[in-house]
Amino acid sequence: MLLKKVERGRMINVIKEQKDAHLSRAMTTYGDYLLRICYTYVKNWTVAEDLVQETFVKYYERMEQFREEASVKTYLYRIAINNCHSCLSSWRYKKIQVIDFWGKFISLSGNPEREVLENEAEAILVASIEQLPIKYKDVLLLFHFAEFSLKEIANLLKLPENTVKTRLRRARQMVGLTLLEEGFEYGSDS
Amino acid sequence: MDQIRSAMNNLYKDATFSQEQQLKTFQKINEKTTRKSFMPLILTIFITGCLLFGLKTMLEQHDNVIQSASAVIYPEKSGVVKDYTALQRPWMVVGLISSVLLSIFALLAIMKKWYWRLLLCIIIIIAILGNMSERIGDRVYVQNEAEIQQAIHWGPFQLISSKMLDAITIPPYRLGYFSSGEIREIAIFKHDGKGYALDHIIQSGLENMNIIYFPETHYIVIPLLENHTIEKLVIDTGAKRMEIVIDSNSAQLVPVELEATVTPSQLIIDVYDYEGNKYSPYESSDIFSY
Repeated sequence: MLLKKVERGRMINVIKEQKDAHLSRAMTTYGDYLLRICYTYVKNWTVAEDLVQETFVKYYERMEQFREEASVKTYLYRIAINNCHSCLSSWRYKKIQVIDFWGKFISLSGNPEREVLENEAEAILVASIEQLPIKYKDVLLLFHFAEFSLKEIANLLKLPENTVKTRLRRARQMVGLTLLEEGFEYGSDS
Repeated sequence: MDQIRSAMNNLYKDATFSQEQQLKTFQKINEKTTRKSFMPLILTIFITGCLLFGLKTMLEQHDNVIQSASAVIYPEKSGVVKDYTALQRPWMVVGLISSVLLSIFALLAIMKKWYWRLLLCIIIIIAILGNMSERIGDRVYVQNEAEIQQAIHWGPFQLISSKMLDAITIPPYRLGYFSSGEIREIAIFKHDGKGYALDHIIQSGLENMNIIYFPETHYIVIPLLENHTIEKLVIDTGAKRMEIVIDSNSAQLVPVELEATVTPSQLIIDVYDYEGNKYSPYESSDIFSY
């Protein structure tokens, strides 16, 4: 009886170590990307870091369900985006936004680093992505940044594929990208 | 490389999910596995308890009932209890359903940690229940004359200095007869299975005091004013003639039992004074059918 208990305890420790190792690997592989994608939604690094941490905590809790690396990536992005959506509609985030707004309003000084960066084309593009409505931001970031296919995005967001195509096209128009520039023909994600 | 991907990676190149962040994630996982929060459960129990206690206090604040065990067919009871029949009104039903749905949503809000929504929910629930409790009336039970006199104050028209003239019981009804100056009032208590509860109050001037007919028991009740000169009441139902002798000139209620087949419109009521003069002050068309 005691032996069985010791054996079970050892097994649990082994499983935990394996899970920890998986999580470390996932955090190293996807951590930076998830942080960046979360930032484009919440525009606050501290909040984005919290959201990514929450994403990995949720992943850890359901780790046993994932066998393929592709499903892990899909799951992590889905949870991260859902967390961002929840965060954007939460009172906590709105409070932070109001405090930030008043902080900026009182100091009357912008971020010089940002101002310099905004002169660059890349910064303008990223800034325009940050300003996108959430539904367009979702598809644009998943397609271009996370490199999911249209079909995968449709599954991930639980939307029809045609809706994803339409939103992607509009999102690109909004950020000033043309289909030609991206080598993207309407109806395909080649 | 994709233009957007490269732009974001270049712009956010300093933003990395550092070792420190990874450690924090592990700390969160360990906290979650070692210490489960009972806060939502405690909050749920606390809020539910508060709601139930509040509801109980609001609804039962006047329930002070004394019940006599002696009566069998018409048990007697006194005191004031809440009358929940008001809850059957359509808007009250809507209020109840809304409260239940909001309570379910409040529980969901606790689970989801939507504390602002929870607070809003509780405020709305309290507002609905508070409003409903205001609309729940009181049911006044009486056992004796003193209680009948007290009960009149629960009626819609409160006489300032009312004097009780008479009280009679014709199961399942009990009547109290009151006067205040030129106004006369008859309070009707109906037995509801638990006791005689205040059901109706008829208020009138001296000139238009009406006979009350109770179809359920086939009784008529004739109210007589103070210092009347009536010595005898003669009631002709067509098939039967009844004579009722009045033995005092005080104000009183005279109950007369009719046969089941008789309707008030058939009645002819004559009055004889102590000198033998005959009057007909009561018209059959003026009989108030209760």
